Amino acid sequence: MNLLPNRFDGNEWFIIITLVITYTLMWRLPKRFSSTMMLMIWAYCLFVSITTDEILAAPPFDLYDINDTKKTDIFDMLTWFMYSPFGYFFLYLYDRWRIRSFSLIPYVLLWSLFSLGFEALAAWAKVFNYKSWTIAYSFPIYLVVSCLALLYFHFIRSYFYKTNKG
Amino acid sequence: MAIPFFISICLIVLMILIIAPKRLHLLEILFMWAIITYVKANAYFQISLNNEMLLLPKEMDKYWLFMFVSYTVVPSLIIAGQNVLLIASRVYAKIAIILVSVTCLVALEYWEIGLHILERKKWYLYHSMLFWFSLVLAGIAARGFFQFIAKREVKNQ
Repeated sequence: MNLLPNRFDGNEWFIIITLVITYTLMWRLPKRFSSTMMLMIWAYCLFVSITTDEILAAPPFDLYDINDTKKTDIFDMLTWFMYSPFGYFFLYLYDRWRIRSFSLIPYVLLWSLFSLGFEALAAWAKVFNYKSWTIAYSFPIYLVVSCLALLYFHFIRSYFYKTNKG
Repeated sequence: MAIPFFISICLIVLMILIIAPKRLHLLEILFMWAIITYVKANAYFQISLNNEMLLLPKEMDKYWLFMFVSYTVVPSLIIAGQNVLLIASRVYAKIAIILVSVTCLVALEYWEIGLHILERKKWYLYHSMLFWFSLVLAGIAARGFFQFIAKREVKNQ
């Protein structure tokens, strides 16, 4: 069972640097949610990222490879932790700027574009190696995932307040 | 005939697990679900892609059935086991519940192998038992971590 990457190069550094920067920023930001809420947001992003990649990147679809080979290594496992801080920032700013009604559409669109840009950067660093996938396909996925994140956020927040009151 | 029967049994089990009264908090269940999925997916990548011990289905119908079982029935069974674990007070009872959970999961996997949903290459019973036991422990660890965070939060309020 070899969990180490074939070569330690650009993609591994990209993952390490991204994890360090995003998780540091996540902890340094003024606290807006309770620890339990933060944990739930983090878990949602982890769940979505692993589910999407398990369906799209693994056989039988096998549309892209993550990192060096089609096999998994420790950096593939770390790749799925990269998404959670972005999910947290998305919901943090949504809550802080009190985005409601029609302003929600440009907010979700801008975040999806930002995610697309970040994915392009990750693909440039060879974190994602596309086979039958193109980056344009990711845009509708980001739109769906962002909307689901907002629904999930409202659900857990209302549930949290309801049970805390009780 | 065997596959529709398998799907029906899975759905009935799922319905029972959803309806059954729970001691676990909903947020706790969702957190455990995410962690179990993460650990299980990584373990399956290791087992099937890296070591080719147990091959995942290539046909679409069997693949989606595997995903359905993997994402709904398996976490539900583990979470149901955790729920019963909360009721048990004695250590022997807790160990027995964990063993029953592991046995159910191993039986479910062997049923999938029997229906050719999963293809066994170098995957033996002790691998299977170890795998599901680890996953049940991951569920216990996830619940413990969630409770630790929640208790610390209540204490700080």
